[in-house]
Order: sequence, then structure tokens, then C-alpha cells
Amino acid sequence: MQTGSTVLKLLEKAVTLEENGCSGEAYIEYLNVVETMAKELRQLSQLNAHSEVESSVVMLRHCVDRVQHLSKILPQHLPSTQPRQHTIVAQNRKSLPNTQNNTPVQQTTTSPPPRTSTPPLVQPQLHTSNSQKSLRDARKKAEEEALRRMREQMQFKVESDRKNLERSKALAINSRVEREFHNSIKSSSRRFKWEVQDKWSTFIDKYLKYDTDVSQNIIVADKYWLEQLQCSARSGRSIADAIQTHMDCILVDSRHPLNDICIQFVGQFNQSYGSVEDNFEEHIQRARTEIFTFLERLLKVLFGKYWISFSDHDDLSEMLVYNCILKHLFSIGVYARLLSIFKNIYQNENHSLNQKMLEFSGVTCQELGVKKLFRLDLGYQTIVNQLHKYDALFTIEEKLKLITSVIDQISVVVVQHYKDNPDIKGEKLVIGADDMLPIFIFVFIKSNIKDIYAKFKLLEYFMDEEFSKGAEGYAMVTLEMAMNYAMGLNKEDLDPIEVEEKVEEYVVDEKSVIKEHSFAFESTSMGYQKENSFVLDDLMGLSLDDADLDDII
Amino acid sequence: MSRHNFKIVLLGEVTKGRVGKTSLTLRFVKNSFDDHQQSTIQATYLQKELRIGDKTVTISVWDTAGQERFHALGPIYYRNADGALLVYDVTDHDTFIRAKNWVKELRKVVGDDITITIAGNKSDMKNRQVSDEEVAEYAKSVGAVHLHTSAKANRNVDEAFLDLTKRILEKKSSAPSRTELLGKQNSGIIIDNTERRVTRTESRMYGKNGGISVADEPKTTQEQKQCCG
Repeated sequence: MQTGSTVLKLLEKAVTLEENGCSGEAYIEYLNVVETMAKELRQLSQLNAHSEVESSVVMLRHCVDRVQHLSKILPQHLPSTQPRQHTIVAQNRKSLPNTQNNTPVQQTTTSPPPRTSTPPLVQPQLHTSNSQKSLRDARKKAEEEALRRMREQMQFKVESDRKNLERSKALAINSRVEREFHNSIKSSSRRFKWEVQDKWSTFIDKYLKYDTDVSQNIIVADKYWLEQLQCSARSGRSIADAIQTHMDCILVDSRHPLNDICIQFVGQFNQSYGSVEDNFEEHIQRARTEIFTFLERLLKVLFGKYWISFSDHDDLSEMLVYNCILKHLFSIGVYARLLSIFKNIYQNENHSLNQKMLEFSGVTCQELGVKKLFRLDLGYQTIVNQLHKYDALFTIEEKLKLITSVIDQISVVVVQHYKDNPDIKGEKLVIGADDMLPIFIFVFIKSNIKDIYAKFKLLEYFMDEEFSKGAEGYAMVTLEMAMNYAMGLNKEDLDPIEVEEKVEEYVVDEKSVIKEHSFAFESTSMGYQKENSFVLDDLMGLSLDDADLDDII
Repeated sequence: MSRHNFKIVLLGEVTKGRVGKTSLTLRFVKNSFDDHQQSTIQATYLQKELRIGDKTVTISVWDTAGQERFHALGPIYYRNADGALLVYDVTDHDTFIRAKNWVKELRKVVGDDITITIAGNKSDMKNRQVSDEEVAEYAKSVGAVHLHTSAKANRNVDEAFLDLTKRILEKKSSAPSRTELLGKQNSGIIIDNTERRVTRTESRMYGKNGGISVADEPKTTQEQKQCCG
């Protein structure tokens, strides 16, 4: 820019003058710089040259500082600048009558008058002529007035420049958003078309009002979020939380177009499947297809059209967004509608399982064949409580996670039990499927989740195939095993309650204690020794502390 | 480098004693045995990554409940299984008989798609009740491989799983993969004039809805040629 180089030349000159001790001339040059820069700043603000404005303001501040500094020290420097002052004054004396209306900068070509502390040099001149004195006074007043106005102007300029800077920043953001984001939507070079125009593409065209009627703040927020994701992705940071948080916010924000389109979708979905009375399987299949078709197309438009700035996103990001929207749809009505259809399909299974769970609600671990070491009936209550949360969750992922964690919790409970009871042997156990499945069946029956069969089928139907071979798949299979086992369960299938076993167990535990006692009997009367062998059977659950061995014998 | 994920089910009878399914899994995945483990652990579902040639294979080992009361529900476990490791106890002939029944069931439910290995566990023990000839002949007749294993002595454990994985891989390589089939279905998905990988969302949809895409209208013919070749 032309003015930029002019400013630099002037500034260089001012600095050189100041360095050479010519404070007066430097002062004038600095003022010239300030004025030129003020003009330049106005031009830059109009052009939204944000970075240039910022650097110019810094330079301007520096110049103003120098001007203020020099204005303070200038009278003190007068003696040293006196010879030059004379020349200037002499020149101005000639031109002054004609230059009264010159610009402030031109008017201040002379320094303020010398102080009285420096009379030896000034006084001879003051006494030369009265007319010169009055002229000097007049000039002095004019200079002071000009300086005051200059300071005011500069202060005003600095303030207005600061405001201009803030305004230009905001304008730059908005214009950038508009240019790169909003305008790209409307640009003729980015015209989108559906290769297949059908119900859901029309629906999205109709209800996704992203490029119109949307608050600028919403678009800016989305824009910054996408930029943040890009930065995170480039730096290798996890973007899952950022996606989850933002999506959760915008999906419940009534001003956001995604919130609106989801509500519209659920409304239409409920209308289509609200009163299904026959052909349930067919309806379920259609419902699933519609949910997935809608989501897939919505994502195509979001990432292909509106969120194009995040074009280098990976599949995972898209999948996370997909899951967030699916979760939202499920939570605002889709799950409830689907479940009602599934309940209709599996009403017989539900009825049978509900009854069995009620019938066997008092079943024990031992009756279900749980190995002795794992018969922690009360201990598993925490897992039963955890499983109760199933109905409070809406998404497939959350429900799957819950079932998987329930299975993992079994070993946690066992470990904790043996940790709390260090006297019992069992701190090093391996829990295989032979042990885990009966425990899970126990937990499952105790949880007594109503209509779990239909809920399971819904989960299975919407579960991603990728999970089928993983831990989630294993959890689902375990749940299915438990459901099927419980449905076919009869009283005769239960293991009999082992009273004898309890006694036997008791005996094993107390054998060592008895041995000590038998040593006592042996020492007192050898005749008792044989009879003591059946004493243990007669204890029948009494602890040795409670039982008086002498009485029993 | 291609990646695979195989599901392997462990089957074995629980009658008088245990055949050692869980111990085999633990030895293979964590290289530990009951005697040396530090605390209680759950070994129902374990995963291990293997490198076979230039391929990375993740095997998910599914332990199954072998009690008589769950036999009828066995097919729930076998579903979508790529391989099965049938474990019997060399000191208990009944467990071998039961292993034979597992094979019959597997072939009936899953067909020939499943790759089977028969492992005679507890081979470190002396009182063997199953003869080598009998089991070798049987394994050959059902297209399975037989190995004597010992989780306790760490004998042939890695070999059993590795051999099974290799055979599954060979079987899968000879048949057209799901990805290849998907690739054929998904060709032509173009967004923003740039070919993209098929996402999970898309792969979930294809085959259900057919090809759907939203495409930019090309700016110029030359540009389109440059992008799409």
C-alpha cells in the first residue's frame, strides 16, 4: 500500500531525528506519522484488513507515546535546539502572517517557548522588540491550542480505531463464515441433487432449513465446532467427546434445524406406525429401513453439503454423529413406538417369560446349579439393581453396554466377596462360562424386567453387525441363553436344596476344631473316641460355640 | 494389510469333572494357568490378535457352558462362529463321546462353514482312556484336526489355536469375502466428486436400500475428469 511506505519513511525520519537529539523536529515528524496512519487505518478498516489494522494500531500507539513523551521533554531540550529554533522562528516570522490557517501539524513547526529558567540565551532576543514578543506569545498560544486539539484528536482516533478493530474482527468472522460456509450452500457451483428422489429426500429438503431461517449464532457455533474437530483430528486428539457434547446440545436446541427435523421425523414415524394391527414383521422391517434411510440421507446432506468444511472427517466422526441422532430419535419417541410393535410380535414369549420370572423370583443360586464358591445370592443384588436400569436407557449402544457390564460385574462381585472374607478360600478363581451362565441366569430372573423378550429382540434387530462377534455379541448371546433357559424352566429342573450338603460343608469347616476337641476327649477317656464320630451328624447346623458337646454326647 | 475377526467357540462337556476349556483359553490368551494366577478372573470372552503372514487376525474366543442342562441351547452359541475347538479329557472317555456329539450338532446347525479342531486336553496325565488311533481316525473322518494339549504343561495350546485360525483364514480366502461383495454393491458412491470409503452407516444400508448418493453437480467436464478419472 502506498500510504504504508510513506508512513514508514516518515517514521524512520522521526526516529532518526529523535536519535540525533532534534526533539522538536522529531516531534513534528511523529505528528505527521500519526496523521498519515490515521488516514491509513480508516482505509484498512473499510477493507476488513484485520491483521494490518492490528499492526498499524500498535505502531500508532508507539507514535502517540513518542509525541506525548517529546511534548513533555521538549522545553528542557530547548537550549540545545536553540540555534535551530532561531532559524525556524526566523523563517516562520516571515511566513507566519500567511500561514495562520495552516494545518495543525504545520502550525506546530516550532517548539513551545523556553522556560524562564533559561534566560541567558532567550532574554536578549526578548528585549530586542515588543512586536516580536507579542508575536511569539501569539504563536505560543496558537501552538498550545493546536497541540491540545491534536491530543484530543489522537485520543479520539485511538479510541475509534480500537472500536473499528473490534468491529472489523466481528465482520471478518461473519464474512468468513458467510463466504466459506453459508455462501457455499447457496453457491451455484455447489448445487446438490438427489440421485434417488423419494419420500425421505423430499422430507429432508422440506424440513432441513439449514440455509434459511437459521440464526447466525447457530451457524457460527456449528462452524467453530467443526473447526475444533478438524484441529483435534489433525493433532490426533479424541474427538468423540466433542462430537457427543455438541450434538447433544444442538439436538435439544429448539432453534437448531436438526432438532426440528428430528421432531418432524418422529411425528411422521408415529403417524405411520401408531396404529399397527397386523403384519407386524413387515412393519418392523419397513420402520427400520425408514429410520436408517432417513439417517443416512440426513448425514449425506449434513456432511456433504452443510458441514463440508469438515470434509476430511473420518468414518468414525460420521458414525458418532449418526449414533447421536439415532439416540435422540429413540429417546423422543421412536423406541417407544418400535417397542409397542415388538411387544405385539412377541406377546406369547413375553407372557411366558414374565410368568416364569414371577414364578421363580425366589430361586436360589444353588437351585440353578451355581457352583458352591459362587453362591453369593445377596452379593449379586448389586448386579440385579444394575440390570434394572435397562428400561431407563434408550439407545442400542447404551443397552448393549449395560448387558456387557453386567457380565463383567459378576467377577467383580466374586472378587469383592473373597476380599471381604479373607478367611474363606477362593481368592484365586477362574470364572468360565460353566460358572458364569448359571449366575447370570440367577441375576436375570431376579431382575424381573417386564417384556424383556420383546426388548431383547428389538435390541438384536437394531444391533450393529460389527458387535456380533465382540464382547457385546457375547453378552447378547448370554442374555438369549438366560431367556431361553428361563422360559423352559420347570420346578423339577431345579437342583434340590442340599440340606445334607450344608451339613457336610459345615463339617468340613469345623473338622479341625473337632480334632482339637477329640484330642481332649482322648486324653480324658478313650471310651468316648468311637462315639464322637457320629457327634458331627447330630450338630445339624449348630455352631460349636452354641452346642454343648457334653449334652449331645 | 488386511484385518480379520474370527469367532471361535470352545465346547466341552461338564460331567464328573471339567475338560479344561477355560484353562486352555487362559493359557493361550494370558499365558497363565490356575496354579499361577494372581486373583479371580473371568475368562468367558477373550480376544487375541495374531499375525499370520501379512494378515492381522483378531480372534474372539467364546467360552461356552458345557452343562447338560444347556445342551439344547447350544446353537445360540455356535451362530456365526468361524471355528470351534472341541475339548475332551484324555483321561475320561465319556468326554470324547460327547465331543463326537458336538461335531454332529455343529455340522447340523452351522454346516461345513465351521472349521473344527479336536483337542485332547490333560495330555500331561498318564491314565489315558482315549486311544490315539481312535481319535485320529475320527478326526480325519469329520474333516477336523486333532491335537493333544495340556494347559497345565503349556503343551500344544498355541499350536491348537494357531492351526485353527490358519485353517479358518484359508477357508475364508478361498471364498469371496463380504467386503468384496460389499465393494461390488457400493461402487459408484461419490460425494463431492471424490471417491470415498464406504462408511459403517453406508455399509449398513447397502443391500437394504440400494445405492443412494448425493452428488455435486460437476463444475466443468475437465474438472470431473480430473477428480474421477
